[in-house]
Amino acid sequence: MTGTRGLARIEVGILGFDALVHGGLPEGRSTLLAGSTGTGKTVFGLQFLASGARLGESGVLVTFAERPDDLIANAESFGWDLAGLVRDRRLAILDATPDASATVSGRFDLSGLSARIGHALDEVNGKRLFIDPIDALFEEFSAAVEVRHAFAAMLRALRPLGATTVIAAERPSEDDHITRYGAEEFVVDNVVLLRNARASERRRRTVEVLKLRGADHHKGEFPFVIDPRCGIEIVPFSPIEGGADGSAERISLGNAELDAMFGGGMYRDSLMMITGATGTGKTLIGLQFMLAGIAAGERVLYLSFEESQWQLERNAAAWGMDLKTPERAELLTVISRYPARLGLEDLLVEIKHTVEEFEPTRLVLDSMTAVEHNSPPKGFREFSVGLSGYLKGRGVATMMTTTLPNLLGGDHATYLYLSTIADAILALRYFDLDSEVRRALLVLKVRGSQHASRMHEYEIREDGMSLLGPIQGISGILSGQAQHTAHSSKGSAGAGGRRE
Amino acid sequence: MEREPDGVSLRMYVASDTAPSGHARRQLAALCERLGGERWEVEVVDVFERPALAEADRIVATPVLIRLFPAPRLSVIGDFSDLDAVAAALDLKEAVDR
Repeated sequence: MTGTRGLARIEVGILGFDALVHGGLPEGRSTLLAGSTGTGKTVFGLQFLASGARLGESGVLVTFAERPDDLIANAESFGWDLAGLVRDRRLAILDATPDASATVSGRFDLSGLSARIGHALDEVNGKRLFIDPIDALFEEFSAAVEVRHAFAAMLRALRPLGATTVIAAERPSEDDHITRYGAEEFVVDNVVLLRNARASERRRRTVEVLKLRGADHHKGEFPFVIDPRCGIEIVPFSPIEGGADGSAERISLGNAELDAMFGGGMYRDSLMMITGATGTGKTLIGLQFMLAGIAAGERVLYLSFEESQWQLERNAAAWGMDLKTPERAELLTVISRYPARLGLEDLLVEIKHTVEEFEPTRLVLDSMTAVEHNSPPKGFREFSVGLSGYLKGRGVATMMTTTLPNLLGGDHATYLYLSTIADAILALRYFDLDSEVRRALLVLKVRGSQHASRMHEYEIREDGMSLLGPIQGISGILSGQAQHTAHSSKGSAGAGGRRE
Repeated sequence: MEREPDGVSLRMYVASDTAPSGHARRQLAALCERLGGERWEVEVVDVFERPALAEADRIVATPVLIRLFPAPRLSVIGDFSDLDAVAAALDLKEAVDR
């Protein structure tokens, strides 16, 4: 693969990372992978080697700290069979852990290691080299200047062999020097930083390409997760471009009256937001939308972030809806989570994996307010944009709910932010008038479509939601200050044609 | 690997074209002479000529002098500017005098 400026690239094989560096790391060059303890440097490097093997490129692993057996076991937990690769002569593992019986007297260089690496690359026809981590070398030989010099000389000596090299190095802390021992001074090609910061009591892993000599790359920090099944995955937080073209197909919301208000249902590849206070029927609308999909033979993913699966099934049963049958028929997958316990990155990746495995054409997320709870604002924005962009790109019809904190009227931050990414918004409101609390809904927005612009009163009955018709003679419902408008008597107020 | 019980077996890894290795070779000769060369068995290995052996001995830094026998295995890394330090590190006096 050829990237900008004609540099051949080596696909790292880490989902999302290759896109950050426009196709991969420049072939034959060295990359310094810097991060403090526990940021995932070793996983990155092992994945680089395992992916290489999968792509038919052999590799060499040099370990300065962990024993080869420990690394093999570590990799095995991600499904990477290093021992098998070693047997097949597609990988060589060089043990360069410190020799406790050695003392140092006078000048030295790293020709021994250089010769071993060269020999190993030759033996396995290696294209990739991972050195993990070089700090142990500095700790073994206290003469840091000499070690730097020797290491730089070794890299120069290995360069003609053409292996694309990743070198892990410790950072003493975040936002300090790049590495503890100044490795950035001699690994001059590329620098990649891994971070594991805490924000709002949640861990947030990010990767940043600081430098990619002679080549373009995306700038800034990109969140990633370490998935116990498949390793590092960069979270697709930026909207995915080039997804499905705007679809003109309409799908039913599962309620003919609601469909009519939206001009004939919602667009297939759109995101609808349902906003309202607790008890206004958001979950009910979500369940109706879900059932309409199942009735049409579609697969539906239901993400329940406020209720347990048992609670959801019980509530659905109260409306005469059966979730078990479509679940058994593999038309419905319900995932119940309390997202406050999960990092948003983990949550997004989990949703993405589920979508890819189950391939739903409809998705209900109830509610985004639960996702926002305890999340840093930036993280929540990234999650919202990333998830909606991802789902739109796949053409999944999505319904999300947000819960308003006040029973009457009012907006809140979640709503204000999400309203910009939603294609359609349905607002559900209580209003109280003459000592009676009633419910009204309004279609606030539909991108690219005509829609009803009047408030309609509705009821929630045993069999679901029922629209009672447009509201006349009442104002101030959205702001929570409903009152009879002038020129209208109490008798004609309320819903026209209200059915009792 | 049968050896005389009172012999000393050393192996030195060097890198042919580097200054520290050249210096270390000369220092090794001086060391053997100083301690009396009769019961010495010294093998000098160039890492670039025999990388597989360097791999087996897990060599990282060069030059390095390894006392293979008697046990325990000890090693000194460096160009051996200070011969007394090398002899002490490898416990050679004791090994020779035994």
